[in-house]
Amino acid sequence: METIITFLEQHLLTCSVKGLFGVDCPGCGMQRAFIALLRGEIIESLKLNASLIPFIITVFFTIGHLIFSFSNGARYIVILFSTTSLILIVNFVVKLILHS
Amino acid sequence: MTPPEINNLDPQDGIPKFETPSSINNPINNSNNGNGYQTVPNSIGVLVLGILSICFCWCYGIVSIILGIVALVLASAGEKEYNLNPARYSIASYKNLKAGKTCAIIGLSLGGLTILGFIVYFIIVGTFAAGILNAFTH
Repeated sequence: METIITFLEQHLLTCSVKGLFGVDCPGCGMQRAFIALLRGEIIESLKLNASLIPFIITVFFTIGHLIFSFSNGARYIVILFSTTSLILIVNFVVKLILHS
Repeated sequence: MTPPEINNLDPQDGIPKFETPSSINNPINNSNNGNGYQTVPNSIGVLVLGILSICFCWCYGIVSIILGIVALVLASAGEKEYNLNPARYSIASYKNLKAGKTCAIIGLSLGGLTILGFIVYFIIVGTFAAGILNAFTH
């Protein structure tokens, strides 16, 4: 586990938007948040990018729905998806205001 | 030896049951998602593409727009197929298709917002650059 975390830390991809414009994009911080989540630091992960955990929940729920086909699963996917995108936008705006 | 068409016979008078428009539109007829119902074509693909379109909404918005448009085209094709014969397909896969379409629309609008932001950014930077160039030349 520790080797995976150190490998991920040494191979972080640079955000192309941040490299070009110097401004954070909505997805910036997701890799750092993922590494923090692997370490078990949930609050640190939420601080880096709050939309990672809902996104992971959405993806796993979708995979589970495609395999087991829950009742009303499609509606829950839409709700989860809209919540994730809402958190993404709010997190982005808050980060922009806090850092400028 | 019983003929395989025995299930299609009406239990009351033994007349073979044909699909009438009323029986096609009956929701009880296709509420059962068990055997015999096919999944709507492209339903899983549309759902996966719709979910993926949010992952890539920050890659200049262009990847998300491409994925969203592909998902919408596939969804409209699947809907056309479903409307031709609604009794043939299971209602759950049709709901999947609808959910995927909604996700694709959200991802598409997010990508559109991102690309709009970039256009505004480029306009601002371009105006500044033009102003600086003007100041140097005059």
